[in-house]
Amino acid sequence: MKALKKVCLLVLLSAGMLQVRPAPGQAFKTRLYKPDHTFFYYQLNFHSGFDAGAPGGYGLATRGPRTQVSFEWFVKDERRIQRGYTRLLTPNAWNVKFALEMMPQAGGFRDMKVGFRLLDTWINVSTKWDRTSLRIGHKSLPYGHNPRIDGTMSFLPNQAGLDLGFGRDTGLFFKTPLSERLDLELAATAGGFLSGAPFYVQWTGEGARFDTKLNYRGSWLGSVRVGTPTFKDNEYGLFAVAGTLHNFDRPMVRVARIGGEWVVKRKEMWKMVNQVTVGTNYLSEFGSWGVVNVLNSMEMFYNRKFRLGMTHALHLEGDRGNTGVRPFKGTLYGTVSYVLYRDARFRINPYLEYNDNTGQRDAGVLFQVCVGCGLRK
Amino acid sequence: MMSTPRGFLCAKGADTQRLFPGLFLALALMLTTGVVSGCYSYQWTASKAERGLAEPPAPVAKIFEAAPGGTLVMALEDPGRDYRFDPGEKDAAYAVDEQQMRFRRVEMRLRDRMPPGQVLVDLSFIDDAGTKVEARTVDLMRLVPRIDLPGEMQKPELLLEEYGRFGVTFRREHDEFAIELAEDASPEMREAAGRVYRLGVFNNCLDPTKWEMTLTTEDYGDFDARLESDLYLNQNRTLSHSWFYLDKDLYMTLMRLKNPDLEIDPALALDYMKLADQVEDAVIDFDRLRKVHGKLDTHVIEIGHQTGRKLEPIVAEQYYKWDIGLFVNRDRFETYADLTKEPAKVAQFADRGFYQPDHPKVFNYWWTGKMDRVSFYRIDQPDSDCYVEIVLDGEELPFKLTLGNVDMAMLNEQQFLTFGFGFNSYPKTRRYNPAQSTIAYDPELRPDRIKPYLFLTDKETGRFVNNINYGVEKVYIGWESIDKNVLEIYLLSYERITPIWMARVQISDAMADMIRVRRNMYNY
Repeated sequence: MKALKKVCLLVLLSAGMLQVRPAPGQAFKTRLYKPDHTFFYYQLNFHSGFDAGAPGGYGLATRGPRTQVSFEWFVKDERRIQRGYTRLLTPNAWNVKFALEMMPQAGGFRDMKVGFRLLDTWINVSTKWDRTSLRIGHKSLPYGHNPRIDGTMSFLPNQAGLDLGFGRDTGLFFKTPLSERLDLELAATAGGFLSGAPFYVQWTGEGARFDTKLNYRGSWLGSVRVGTPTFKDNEYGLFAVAGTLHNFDRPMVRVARIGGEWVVKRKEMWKMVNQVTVGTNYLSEFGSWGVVNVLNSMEMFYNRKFRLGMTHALHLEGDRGNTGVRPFKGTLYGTVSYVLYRDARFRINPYLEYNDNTGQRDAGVLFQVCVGCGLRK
Repeated sequence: MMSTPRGFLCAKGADTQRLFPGLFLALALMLTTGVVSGCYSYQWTASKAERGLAEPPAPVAKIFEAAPGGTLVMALEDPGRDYRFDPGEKDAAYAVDEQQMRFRRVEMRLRDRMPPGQVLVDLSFIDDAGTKVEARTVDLMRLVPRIDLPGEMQKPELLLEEYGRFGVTFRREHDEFAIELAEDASPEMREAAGRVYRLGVFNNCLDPTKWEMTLTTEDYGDFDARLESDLYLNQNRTLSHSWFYLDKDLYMTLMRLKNPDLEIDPALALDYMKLADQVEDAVIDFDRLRKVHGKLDTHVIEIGHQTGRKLEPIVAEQYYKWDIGLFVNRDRFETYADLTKEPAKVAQFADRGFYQPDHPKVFNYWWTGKMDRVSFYRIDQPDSDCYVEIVLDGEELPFKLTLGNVDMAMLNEQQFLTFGFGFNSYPKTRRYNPAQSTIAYDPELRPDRIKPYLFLTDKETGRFVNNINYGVEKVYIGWESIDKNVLEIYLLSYERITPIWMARVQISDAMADMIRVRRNMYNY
């Protein structure tokens, strides 16, 4: 075990040598009197309404961000700021963010669970090279890019979440330029092991009971994306993921995907994302079957008060185990976000599952109040 | 599936070591990919527009061919330990020896081949003991101003470029320079050479063609104690600081090469006084620089001289300059309001480029007391709606200050973004190999449409007003906090010795949100 740790350390150090991150702008001067460098945020998110796909229809949200309270600590490393440069590699920022979220059950409030969900929790390591970040922790996967105009607690899904079941994962992430026109992103993660709510408390007639879904079974996920840098108006990218996805107590599915994307941005006013992925899933009992995903998303910054967004997601699967069933689902998500004040949003989030091979045609309208939105790191 | 709480990773007989092989293999794949694909890094002297290298420009080659051995040799002088007014902290080995690390000669050799548009030389700074500091394949064009404006605006731009001290730093951790010690170098100097991490070469502001070099070491002896303090004072120590005059013919040739469309005589750069006499008639036509889209909703929270704000150093440079007495009558000024009441005396540069506190420059900052209006305008840009123009003005002021093409998404709360007067003026120091572009650019790589500008102009005629006559040299701006909705604006005096005016301005929630969106969409 000690030898393994040493090897891991050496590999980490070597990885740092390949990193490039932006050097501080040369027209900047550090303040003499130290400003705060440790920050604390909280967010309250109430999300409820009618959802035909949820047990009982009306109630707290079971899709999109759940009703929750989240806490975040963000630290800019004072040592790195004082030194003013990175000789080789050094941590320059930390973030810890988690949420306590309501997990509605079929029995309604009577059986309500409160889960602990890990959000963005990472250490960022700066290196002496430009425009690269090395992060260790729990963060979003480079499964395509979907930059947000109104991103905090957004109802609009990312493709990773829809396809893999999780958008964030735990592991190592880095990004480096291949040329002036191409960036490379890589991630080696634990296959969704800490995604979802790994801990929760449930209130029953006998009182509160604590439970956990921690059970690491060897899941892993490798992700790679090559594409134009994020500061371009038009981003083109190719990405791929492969691995075995975590499952607590059922067989784990092996996945492999390759995808392409086109992201168009115009100033801060609107953006459009188009992503297509194809690949296979594998389970020992069924063998492998094909999967196709399509995601189209549009968001707009509309005057001072409104942010509008719409996402269409299509998921197709091949015949699993020669049953003759080819699952497919098409869903349209919308959001109208009204800025109540700087750090608060009221959103109306309709959705429509317009097609599903099971014959289900779900629809709903959810109402969301998010307080503490719009953090400005 | 109810169970009692379990330890991390211990449920159902999980094997913790199974986590590592997967991560380990994936990381190995990442590393292999990185090694195979190569690690790209911006190199200023790598040819990009055209493949292959070319002969050096003929006029430059001619100057070097005329020099003995094809090497230009210029003499350096350093002020030594007796000179007390070089700001910043000194290395323990600073000027302790008459010969070692006292650089008195610079040799400049022209490279045979170079990318088009560049003039590559090898630089050697040599002390009397024989120690050499060498920087190879240095593009001299990085040390010559570019004149961007058309017509009569070129003269003010040239003057302000020449009045500015700007240069490049070479980084040891990237092997951008090397030190070759003299054979008989003392142990102290060998240790000092090991501490050196920056070589700086600057186009000095005092005199035409006057350049300077610095060697900077790092000392972490009390770094942790400094971390505990309220001040950001870093590990930098000056080991060597010398001045030299660049060959005038070479400088003029470089100026012409870098500015082939110059409409004025570049030789004006050799006579600051003559140039200064010719600039006051020039009208700064802002309509040729940008298109204003509309006034932004802002609220001025504070004007420093109206609220009795205490006069304090805002960056380490002022802290050091006050400490060595460059703000000669500092004790007369407690607040920003005091600056409006009596003249301030600040040390001025004299003949050799050294500060002379005994013969201070006197500035009457009465006008800062009249500056009480701050206006923000959105500039029409295809890239973003976060570019603004900031106008500082006052009812009784005959002139106004205009700072434009400020990308608000570039600002942060730990540092000030600094602007020199002029059009796309170079910052005092920038990296020799610039940082790779993001939404931020090195001044040489910035598209024309977003080049920042900063001018004092007459409110009635629109004519250029020489800011040096009013003792103001820079504008610093930065967010008050990470909330990024209150902007602090400072004006800095001649030689940046003291702040002379400040304001705090609250921007609208919509603008703050737009800035956040820009960072999230383009800088994630």
